[in-house]
Amino acid sequence: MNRREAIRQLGVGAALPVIGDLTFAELLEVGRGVRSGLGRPETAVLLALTERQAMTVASLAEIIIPRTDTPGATDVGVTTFIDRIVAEWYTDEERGRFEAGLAALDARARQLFGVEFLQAGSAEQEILASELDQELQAAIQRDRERPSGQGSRARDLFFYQMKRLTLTGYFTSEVAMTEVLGYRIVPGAYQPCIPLDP
Amino acid sequence: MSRSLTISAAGRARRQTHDAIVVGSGMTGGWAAKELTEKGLDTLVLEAGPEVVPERDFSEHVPPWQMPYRGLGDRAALEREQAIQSTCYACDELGRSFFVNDLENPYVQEKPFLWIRGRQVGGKSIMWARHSYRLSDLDFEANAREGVGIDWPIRYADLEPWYDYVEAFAGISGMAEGLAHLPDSRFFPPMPLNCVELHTRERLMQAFGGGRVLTIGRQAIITRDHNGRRACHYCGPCERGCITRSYFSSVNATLPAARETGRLTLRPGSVVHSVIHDPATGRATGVRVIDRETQEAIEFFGRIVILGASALESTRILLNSATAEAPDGLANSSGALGHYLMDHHMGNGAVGRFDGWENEFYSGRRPTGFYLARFRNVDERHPDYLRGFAYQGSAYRAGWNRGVAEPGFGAEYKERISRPGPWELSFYGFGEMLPRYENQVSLDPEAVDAWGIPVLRIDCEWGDNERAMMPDMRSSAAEMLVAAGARDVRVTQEDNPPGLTIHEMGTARMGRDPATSVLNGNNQCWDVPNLFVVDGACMTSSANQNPSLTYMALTARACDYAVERLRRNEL
Repeated sequence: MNRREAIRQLGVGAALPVIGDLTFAELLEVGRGVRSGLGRPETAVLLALTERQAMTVASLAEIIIPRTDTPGATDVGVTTFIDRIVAEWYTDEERGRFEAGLAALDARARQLFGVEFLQAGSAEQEILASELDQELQAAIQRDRERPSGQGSRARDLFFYQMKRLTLTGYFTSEVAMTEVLGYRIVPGAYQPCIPLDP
Repeated sequence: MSRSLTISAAGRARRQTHDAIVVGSGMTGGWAAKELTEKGLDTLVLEAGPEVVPERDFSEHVPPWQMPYRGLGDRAALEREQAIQSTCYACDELGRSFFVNDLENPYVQEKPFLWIRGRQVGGKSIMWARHSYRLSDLDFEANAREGVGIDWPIRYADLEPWYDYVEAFAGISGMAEGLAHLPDSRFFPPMPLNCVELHTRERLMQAFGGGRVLTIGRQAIITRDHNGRRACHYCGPCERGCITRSYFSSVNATLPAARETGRLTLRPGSVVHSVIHDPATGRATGVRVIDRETQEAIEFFGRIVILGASALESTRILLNSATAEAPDGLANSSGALGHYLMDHHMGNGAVGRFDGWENEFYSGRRPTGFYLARFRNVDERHPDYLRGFAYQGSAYRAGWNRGVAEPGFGAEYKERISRPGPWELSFYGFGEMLPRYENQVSLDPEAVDAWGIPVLRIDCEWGDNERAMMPDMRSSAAEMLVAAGARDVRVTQEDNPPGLTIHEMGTARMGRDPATSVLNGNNQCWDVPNLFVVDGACMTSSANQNPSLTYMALTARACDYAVERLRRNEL
């Protein structure tokens, strides 16, 4: 299967095992194949991330919100959103933590599997994501047990940033809001008590 | 003493005379414009900010995916230009256009005070939270009964017909409850409570013998078509405007009515510097304006002047109108001007989870929550503090935002957080603040804003009575959640400084005695009979209800009085 064929197939609903092999521009092509969820015109120009970082972000975002019977993170262009937030919205300190988190992810992958994150297989990538999520959940638990008023530690973690940006980018996209959440701009009425699953 | 202002030759050549000048085009300025023009007065409305055109400037139907930051806002711009304004939830990615630029509009915080301002046609009536509640004699009599501050010069009976009057035009949706201390309005059909809110209302009725009433928030939003305005369509982000004019704002309702008369002249971009006062007659003759764009100083003249620029802006104008005869500010022979600043303290409450109703949900974005009416110091005296508080809140199912704190990722996780989370219900308290002389504003002797007008120094903090009330607001909310059957109940508090509730009041209070108050019972300056202050500056006490409805009623009443006196040549 050549690259062009792989991209075409990704756009029509195949799984994403080869995502690590794609360039960022090609990933965008995948997103366009479904539908763009971005307010600004999509551009292949990255604002903050290197192409390699963007591909790591895309892989991780897809692990968090994979394509199922509904579109996944890559389908709705989450990486472009994350790149913009890291470039224009994050403080220098937050940007530094995000980039350090990506580097640490590669270091951990090398340590455990002898390859960088993008070269690891999907099972290995999920193991790495599991570790990051367990550390995040433990930090959230510690925050809850600590008296209020002290700075949060969970928020300082790379995986907190990654999860928050992925969820925000995904669930504020047109595709996810309209197809997954059933959002309508003008509902027309408020129905106070209706069955969730009719 | 005001610094001198040079009126240009061009400014003098264009001097205009009107029957009435209204300063401000928001909640109260809009009402003054409507009332005065409908009563036949040629009325000039001066607005410091730009024009607002709903079809161009309202953005409530822009979905998140069309925003560059998906609703997170242009953080760098917000931090640079609106560090204070963006502490208000409504000053977000799109809503920020309705809040002032903090760099152009500085002020001095002697103590922490968040001064949230909207300078445009419509003022803060565009971004207000629309909760509308009548005051009662429990509020109007409180100062006199407890020996706090001074007595209100009016009682509920004075204002009741004017509540009726403004409600008939504005349109308040809500549910009649028959509470003497929270009088019912002339309601449009209520928006419904959802199933967990209804359950909680019934449980509280049983548990507290009818003493704790949870009702739907009373909102200045019409639920059926009215006066050419369309019923609410539940799109959600009211603070960004309302193209169907469903909620009440001056842009949506009063200014169009004033325009209809043919007697309205609205001049945006008019930053009022001071009131012109003729010491020979003791009357106001007009106002001095700095043009927002050209910085040119211009004078306008009128037979009466109505200040409705917001509590602190109207007070600032009076302080800046000092003359040799009135060195401490115009209409300030009492020395009360600038003092007795109040806000409501908010954010003390509790939240809890409700098991059950797993297959119950709601659709549409209801632009209000519930209101739990005041219950403290109504019949019995609380040992720790005076006055009381109410709660706003809602029952809801958490959305995808909860996903960061939920373990997992992948297909199962995606499916789980795509569905609504468990039911929660929150109580969010709003408490009364007592008037204290020490809570005050004054003009800074040095600093000026972008138009050369002296800025305010604000010196305000919560007092002992407010602080004594806060723990009870938390524990009473928790107590009610437990009574309603919630689990995982936890108390909440925000520790906001004054200002953030955006219910600034006092600083030109009404009273019965010219020696202790700035205004009489008709919002008329004791010292300057043809000068009126109709916004929140007039409030003698704060009550705990959201105050805008009362400002509307007071403004309509004051305008009726002013026109009547004008006709009889008594002004």
